[in-house]
Amino acid sequence: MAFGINPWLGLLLIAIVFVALSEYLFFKTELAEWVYCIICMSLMSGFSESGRINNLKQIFSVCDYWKIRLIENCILACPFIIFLLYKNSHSAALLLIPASFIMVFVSLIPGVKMVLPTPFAKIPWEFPSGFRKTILLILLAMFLFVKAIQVENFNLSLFSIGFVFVVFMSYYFKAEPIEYYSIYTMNSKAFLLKKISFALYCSGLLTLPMQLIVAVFFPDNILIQAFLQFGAWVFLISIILAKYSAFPNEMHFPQVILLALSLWFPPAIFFTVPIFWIKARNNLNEIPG
Amino acid sequence: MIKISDLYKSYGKNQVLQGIDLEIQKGQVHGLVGENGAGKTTLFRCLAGLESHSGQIQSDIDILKDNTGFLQTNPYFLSKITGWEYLKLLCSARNIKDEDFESKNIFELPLKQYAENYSTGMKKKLALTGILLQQNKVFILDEPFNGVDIHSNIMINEIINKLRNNGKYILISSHIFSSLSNCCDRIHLLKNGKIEKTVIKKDFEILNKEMKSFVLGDRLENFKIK
Repeated sequence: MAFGINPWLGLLLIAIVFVALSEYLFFKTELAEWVYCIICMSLMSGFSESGRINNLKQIFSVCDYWKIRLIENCILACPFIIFLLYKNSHSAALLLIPASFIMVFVSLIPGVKMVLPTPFAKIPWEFPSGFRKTILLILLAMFLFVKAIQVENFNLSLFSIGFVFVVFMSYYFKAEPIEYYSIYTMNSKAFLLKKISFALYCSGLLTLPMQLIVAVFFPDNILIQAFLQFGAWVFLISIILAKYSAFPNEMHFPQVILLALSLWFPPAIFFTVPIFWIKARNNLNEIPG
Repeated sequence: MIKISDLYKSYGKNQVLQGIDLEIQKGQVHGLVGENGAGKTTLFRCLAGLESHSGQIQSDIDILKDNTGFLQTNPYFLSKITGWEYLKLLCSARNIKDEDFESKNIFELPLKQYAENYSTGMKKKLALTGILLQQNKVFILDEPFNGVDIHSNIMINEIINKLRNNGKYILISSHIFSSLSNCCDRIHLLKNGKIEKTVIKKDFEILNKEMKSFVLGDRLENFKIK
């Protein structure tokens, strides 16, 4: 029996989420069209990953290789271009068309081997790895944040902090190989607490200074800020626990449903976190050794 | 001593290990040979605490998993993690405060580069450095000589000798018989999920000849290589 959702339903859900997030972005900031272009290019750069490119070149003929690269970039860029046109952002849409073609050749540039320094280098391993993989998104969030302070837009400043948290949460979506759990000489409780404390520390390292700046510029809204920070931390914890409640497998329906429930009805998180905690501990205790 | 008794492991209907009985002595290097799919890696994973199994693994070590360094055939490195960060991860997982990895970089690896971009041999050497830094009591080395250059081969042989002299438990697999015969005190032949034979050093040559005759038979004559 196959698991998963119907691909057409999946596509429909993606389309709905895409439109909703796009509308939200355009509602929140005047710079949305340029942010939109950066997001599209950033996603497109995923197709240019050197290992993938080498595989494609080995498997397909030169002609087919270029066709595939062009078609995949076009498929990705299309919804962005259509939405930009719908929003009358013709210049951004026009920029995205040649950019999609140019991105086809990005593979010709040798892979950049430069190691990006991170403030988390001594902390294993989600944050140093994740930070480097999502640096463009972090920079985008920082850009939005600076703009928010510049134009004195409190909502946008909170949005950018929330965006940083969403990026941080993404570091915990995928399960690592079991070996990376097994190397620890600690019980499941200590392991989970260590993971959580590192996540809180690392996320705080970047978001607390942002919160401080917001507090200076918008001193009347400190309670809302505290609510966001606390809520985001609780969500971060719940995602870590959700991951290990399915470990060593990837998160599946039960975890996703409980997370979605918490997102839709935030007080539910006070039930889902303990559920995930118990399940994660039981799950890790079942790992042999 | 590590005593493995009646160890069984299956994946669904595929019974990989079918009652392994094996004793691993302290300060001795045990080799494991067998065809592809014989169950060597599965046995190693059971010993390293990565797979559930039936049967017993007894030892004089408190928690075997926490004192075992497992060098995998193809070590997996997380994306965008440098060699230095990988070593730091392994050490911090065992509460070892060491950070002076440059002076202990015996294979002269580029620790400041991403480990995922290392060559096959470099990955193996990084993983080996990691389990050495962890100060394990048990070393399970799955194909340690695979993909490494000649200098590193010599170095790995010397490391194994030192580990033996320091009274560690060492279990190695290799598809190159000469590599095993150089460094092992005993070689176990794994066949169809069972230890079919255990041979001590003076009988290695006999085992080698037996394996050659079993493997080759008259197959090459049939193939008629010109």
